[in-house]
Amino acid sequence: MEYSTFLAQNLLIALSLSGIYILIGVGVTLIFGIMHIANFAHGEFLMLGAFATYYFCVELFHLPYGFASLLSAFSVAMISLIVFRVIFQPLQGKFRATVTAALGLLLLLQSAGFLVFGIQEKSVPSPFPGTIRFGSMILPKERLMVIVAAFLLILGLLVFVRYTKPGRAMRAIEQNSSAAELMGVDVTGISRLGFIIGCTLAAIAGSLIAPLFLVEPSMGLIVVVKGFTIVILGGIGSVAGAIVGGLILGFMESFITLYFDSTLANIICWSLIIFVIVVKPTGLFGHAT
Amino acid sequence: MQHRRKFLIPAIVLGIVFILPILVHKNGYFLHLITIVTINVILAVSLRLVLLTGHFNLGHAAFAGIGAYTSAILATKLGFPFIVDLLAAGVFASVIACLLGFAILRLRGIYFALATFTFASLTRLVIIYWDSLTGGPAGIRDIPFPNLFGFEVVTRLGLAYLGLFLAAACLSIIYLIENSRIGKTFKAISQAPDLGESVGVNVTGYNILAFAVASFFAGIAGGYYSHYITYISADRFEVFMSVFILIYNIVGGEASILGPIVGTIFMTLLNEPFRGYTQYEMVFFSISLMVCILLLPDGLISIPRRIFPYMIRFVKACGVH
Repeated sequence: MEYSTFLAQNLLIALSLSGIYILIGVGVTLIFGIMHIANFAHGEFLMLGAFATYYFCVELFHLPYGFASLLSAFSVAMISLIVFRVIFQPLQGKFRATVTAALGLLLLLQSAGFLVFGIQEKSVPSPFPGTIRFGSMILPKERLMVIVAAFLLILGLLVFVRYTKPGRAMRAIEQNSSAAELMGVDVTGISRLGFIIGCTLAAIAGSLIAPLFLVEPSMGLIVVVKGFTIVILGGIGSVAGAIVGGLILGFMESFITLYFDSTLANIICWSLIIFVIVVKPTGLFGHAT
Repeated sequence: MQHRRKFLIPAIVLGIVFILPILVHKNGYFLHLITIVTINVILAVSLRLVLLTGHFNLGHAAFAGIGAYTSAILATKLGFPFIVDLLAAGVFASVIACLLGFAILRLRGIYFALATFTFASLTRLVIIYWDSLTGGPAGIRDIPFPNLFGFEVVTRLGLAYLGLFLAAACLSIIYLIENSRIGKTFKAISQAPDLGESVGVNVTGYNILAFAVASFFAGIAGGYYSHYITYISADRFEVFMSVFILIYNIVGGEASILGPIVGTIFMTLLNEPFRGYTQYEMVFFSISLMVCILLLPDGLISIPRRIFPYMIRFVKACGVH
């Protein structure tokens, strides 16, 4: 294989990884920007989405993949609504309590996942098996599916946040929550909507990676760590920042893993985060609060 | 008289705690439990110093890990005596904390939490990656038992007592710090850092002091842990351990030093019925954590204050009839 082909192929794989990362990062940043909840349980919603897809696809109804992912996104949205009502709404405005509760939720969902789903790793059959030849490149179709789906979802979210009324309300709350409330914005309702959207995006990311990787109950922890990495790189509360952060992390990780090894990739990522937090805590696109 | 009564209850509690290992000395498992709870209490109470300054530290276990590895390496590779190991573990952990503190202690809230969380993950990875020094993923084996002035402490009873004495010493020092002028400054800069700065308090200096002292005790706890278990690996100091230490503080309550002590004992004993059913253990742990946070925002130590009015009413109601 030519080196340029090899490189192009890896660029595409890095891009699909970035797509997943952006879906997670955008959710984390949305939830933090609007409600100041550091949602450490965010990765668990991805895990739930992946498992729901697996169950709808393989164990329960043998639904087609697309329908199963829609159903899984809906189920996770319902779960996130319950979580918001029971845990985060009563604790609104208490920083320490919400962070601890989010960490507790992470522990709860992960351990409940082990209890209900078992420790056996699951895999979802690929909806698009095979590869596409593109010039001299050989590309797996499922990776392309991830890139396309992530791109459409992020575009949809950007349009939503920019042009719709609830989206505008979200930006208003992010800028100044009390002023927004005085102008008649239903802060609790919009917060609830933001929380559900963030968690649902994570669930969809879970559905997208279910055919690519093994599905297991502890997959959420590493995901949420990546999510916070992205958000710190891009700036907490900024959607554009999350997109750029996701691209940086996805490419950096893919290529360091390709040329060196994955532990070193993680060490470099962690060092970069500490560096960013120390030098510019607001990240690339964030603004001081 | 007043003075004597003030010390009566702590003295009784302390007495019970120190008799406890003898009462259960036939059961090795209970002695192990006592020692582990003691080490966790030192960790939780030392974290309290950082929490007092208003910083939400999500990586405290990293300093326990640094302490444990320092003392393990000094003991196995250089053959240092136990006391020197233990002090070196604390000192090294607090040196690292000072260096880190200079960089990150001006951050607050979520930024500080994430920075410490990242630091803890980084520490764990470095321990795994640097295998010529730390043994990599396999960890360090055959760490000698504590050796005090020529007596090697090898029985579980002895180790439990050594742990209790260590905890008593650490807790007393932390208690004295908290109630001194320094501790009051910690609380003050947590409430109004800018005001403190403007009246001439060296806010950064006090923040670093709190962080370094807390890490010193975390390092000592980690050092004792490595000598007690005699085998350590990076997995023992994973991210969840920091989370647990934090949870003990929040569940117990942040109002007094009793909070983390009560929180640690309560959350550890709560899991005992589930011993052997690890998967149920964590589900139960996290549910009880949630219930505590939602129903008792001021922690377990606020229970007496909460039920006191009802008790008075009950007593009065009984008295009328």
